[in-house]
Amino acid sequence: MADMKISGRLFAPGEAKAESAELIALQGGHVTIEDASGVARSLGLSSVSDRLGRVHRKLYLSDGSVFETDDNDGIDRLLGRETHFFSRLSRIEGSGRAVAILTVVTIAVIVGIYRYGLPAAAAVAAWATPPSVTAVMDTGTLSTLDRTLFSPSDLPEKRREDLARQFAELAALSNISDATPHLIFRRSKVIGPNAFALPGGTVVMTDELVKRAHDDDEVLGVLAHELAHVEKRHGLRNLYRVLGVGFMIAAVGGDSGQIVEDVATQGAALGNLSHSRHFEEEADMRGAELMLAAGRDPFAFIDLIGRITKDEGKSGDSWLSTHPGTQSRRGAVAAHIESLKPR
Amino acid sequence: MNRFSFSGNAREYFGIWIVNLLLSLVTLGVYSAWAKVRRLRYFYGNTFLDGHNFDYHARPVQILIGRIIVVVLLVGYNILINVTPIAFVLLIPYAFGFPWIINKALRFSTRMTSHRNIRLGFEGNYWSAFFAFIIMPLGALATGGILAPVASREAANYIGNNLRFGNAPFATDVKLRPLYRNWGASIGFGLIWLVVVIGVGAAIGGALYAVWGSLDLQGASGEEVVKNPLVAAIAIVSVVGLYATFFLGYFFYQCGVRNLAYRATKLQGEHPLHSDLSRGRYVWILISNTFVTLLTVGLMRPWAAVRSWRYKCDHTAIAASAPLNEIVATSEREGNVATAEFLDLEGIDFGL
Repeated sequence: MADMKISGRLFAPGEAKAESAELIALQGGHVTIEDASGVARSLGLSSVSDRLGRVHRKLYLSDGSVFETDDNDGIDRLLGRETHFFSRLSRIEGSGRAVAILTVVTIAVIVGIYRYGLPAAAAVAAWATPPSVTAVMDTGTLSTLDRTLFSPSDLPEKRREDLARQFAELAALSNISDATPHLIFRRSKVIGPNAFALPGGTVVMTDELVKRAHDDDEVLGVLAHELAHVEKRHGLRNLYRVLGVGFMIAAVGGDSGQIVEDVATQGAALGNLSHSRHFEEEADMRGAELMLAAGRDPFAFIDLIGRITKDEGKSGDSWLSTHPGTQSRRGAVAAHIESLKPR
Repeated sequence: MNRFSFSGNAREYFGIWIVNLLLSLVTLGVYSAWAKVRRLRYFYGNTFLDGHNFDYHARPVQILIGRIIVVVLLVGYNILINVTPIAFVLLIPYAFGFPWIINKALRFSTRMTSHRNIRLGFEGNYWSAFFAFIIMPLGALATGGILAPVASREAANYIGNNLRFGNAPFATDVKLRPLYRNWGASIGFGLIWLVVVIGVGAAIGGALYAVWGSLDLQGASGEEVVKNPLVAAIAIVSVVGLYATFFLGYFFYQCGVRNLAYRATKLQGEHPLHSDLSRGRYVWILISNTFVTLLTVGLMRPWAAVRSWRYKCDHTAIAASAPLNEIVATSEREGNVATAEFLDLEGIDFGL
């Protein structure tokens, strides 16, 4: 290459002392360096540090010495590195217009991943999770709950068997392929009248809930709702989505410190509530379908839930609650049933 | 006295940061290893002492491998915790492995840092690390913080006395008395904040009372008490207030410890380091950084990062005339990248 001089300084191998020097030529992987007294030496070039902002460039030479310079452009020109990936990236990072555009793109990518990417990825991951894993998760969760919140059910054996049989009939109508739905009963003062589904198909119902029901259709309606959660793999999808959000927070704000990360995590938890609510609506619709298919009353479960929430003094919709309010649930189920009718 | 200085700026770093973020996202995190190296190279490379900058030498592929190992281990551990509740017994071997992790990680991150063509180095000892990072913190915890200054002294001395710049060793001897003074000041600072938070909480409570106007809890059931908006507001303010008080007191304390540890450290037995951060100002920078970062949904993060880094540089120095010239490199093993990434991903920071 031509004789472009690049001034900088040269560190002898393994030494802290630097002498000013000039890089005067590059030829076949060797650079010629001239020290302050005018003595020129030719040394092999081992590697060059990547361009980054105005950070000084370093040329690592074959004898262990290091040539350092702030003439980034000169180095790129002399070594023909203008088209090197990081040299290009560095030009982009330094251009106000490119950075403005990339900022908008980044925000769009973050929103896109959060809104569409994560739920889709979570659905795929849930679909790919083998039943053996979800079965183990069920066992683990249940044993933890049994030690902390639950006591054994005191419903009469006959009543439990009767409900379990009807539950099995309902489950046979669903499209659950890789989980084994089974119903178990527990008593719990802490969580009160309640029911929930675990990813592997275990549906837990509390004695308190069964006792509040006026007829079997009310209980079965709640169980249909839980079966819908199992069928649509809501539990797993939620789990994976929360994991993904955690990863995203770490990626976006990873170096911002504990407080920023804590606040972001709390914010994400709020966001998750609205997401869970979507799952609940979906489970309501699918549960009503199952009840219709079984020839039962698809609205019965709303009566039961209405009775429970009324007693607890909870009212209507709220952005904080995951389950929709009773009135809007009834309306949504009615509309859904209407839409299922053949025209 | 040679002061550190920082030649980077928020505008320039913003471009690097946004490109790092975008590429990390679209490569599903793979690029984050390159991003980390570029971030540290930017900060180290723009930090000058005595006319020479620092440099960070880890190769991104090394970092990537370390990250993969750590992520796999952490995911595995979390799955195990979810599946078998007894997985927490793994914390015992973890406590015994931690000193090893710290030693290897410190060795790696110091070996990857250079100034004037000379790498830093660290050579630790397992049981000393076990004492400084397991026994002493447990002791501080068990005594409700009374032994915290002793723990700080042990940690600072351990790190300082095993640290090297090329062939030149550092030596640290932090005294207990100033550490306890700093500890007392930190508690005072935390208490003042607590009073401020209670005052703000009372003002908010008063305003809410004026709006909703009911705090008649007599004869109310437990559930009704919890659902009273005023009670909820008071509860939220107390939790946030206590959290803030704890963190502010902690940062105040750590800042004081840094000053004392640097001032008690000498290079080659004769050139003292110096640190004169103002604790109040440092805490203010951290709080305002947090708020600005959150209010701009992260977009001002580069500005915040540059601001706190620059503040630290401006208040750190070494009292050496020209001895740095004579130091030569030593060859030393590199340490272990996975351990360094473990500390990085778990957010364990030594504030070096």
